[in-house]
Amino acid sequence: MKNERLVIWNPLVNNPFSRFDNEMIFVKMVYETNFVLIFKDYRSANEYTFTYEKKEKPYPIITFRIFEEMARPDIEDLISKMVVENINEGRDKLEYEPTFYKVENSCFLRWYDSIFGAREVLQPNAEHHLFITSNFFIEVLSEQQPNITLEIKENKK
Amino acid sequence: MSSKGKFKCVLLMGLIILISLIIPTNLTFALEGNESSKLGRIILSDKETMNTLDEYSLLVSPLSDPIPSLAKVDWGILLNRSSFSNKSGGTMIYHNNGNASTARAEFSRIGGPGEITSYVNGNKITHVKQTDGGYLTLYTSTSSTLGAQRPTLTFGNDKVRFIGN
Repeated sequence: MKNERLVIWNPLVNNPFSRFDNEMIFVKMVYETNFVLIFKDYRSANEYTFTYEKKEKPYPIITFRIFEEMARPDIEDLISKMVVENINEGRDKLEYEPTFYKVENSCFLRWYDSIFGAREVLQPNAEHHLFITSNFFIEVLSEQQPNITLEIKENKK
Repeated sequence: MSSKGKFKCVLLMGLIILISLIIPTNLTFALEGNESSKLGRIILSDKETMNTLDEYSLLVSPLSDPIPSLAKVDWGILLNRSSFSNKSGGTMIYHNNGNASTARAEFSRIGGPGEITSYVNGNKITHVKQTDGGYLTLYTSTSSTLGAQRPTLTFGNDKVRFIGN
């Protein structure tokens, strides 16, 4: 979709990840009561757990999808578009390669609504979160912001 | 196996091949009878005429070692010129300081000439080449800081990302 755009998201206070320099490793996805994504910093071996908690609504997320990196040239196009926008708007050049984005005017959300129009009433505050790991693009539609915990591991490298 | 033993095996193998050409192998007939034949029909069970599988294996020349895949050899050369970055699931990810031209040159080199199919999506193209070791792909990621291309080659369980400018 023409109006879809990426907005850099900073969920971590001290973000160690940079898409090509310190890639975020996807460790695990768990979906039981809560929806949980676990990522690892390869250099430090620390693990970051993103938990979408089940609260008042029946489910913690609306839906998710996961693609191998190669299969999403459209997201690469969105990144290119974001770079051009930053230049045109005179913003400083980024000092790292983001691995967390939110997607505005999301095609994914629009596709979901085309199937289940009631979403706009039942979950009106849905957001599209994009996680870029070393091998995958993981996308989550949810009204919630994930809780994040850091597990510091002994570096075995 | 001694040369005498080998000779016996070859002789036996030749005999069996000759017999199997002349006589049906599901049921072995000593002689096919007909009205004018003075000899009757003698049926021998397969067990009496056919070797066991183990015995057969001695008669068959051992296969030569499989020919190594050219693409796998070429890919190994590329990995030697790259540095290991991380492992994600079953995928080993390497970084190479080459740029987009290097990536394209490697794509051409690995596995030699092969059928290439290109898939266009907007401004991005994914190239897939058939090689003797499986599919080799070339696609492009985008740098958020520079907007520069970060081409990536994938082959088997490996991925090499070219991060030079």
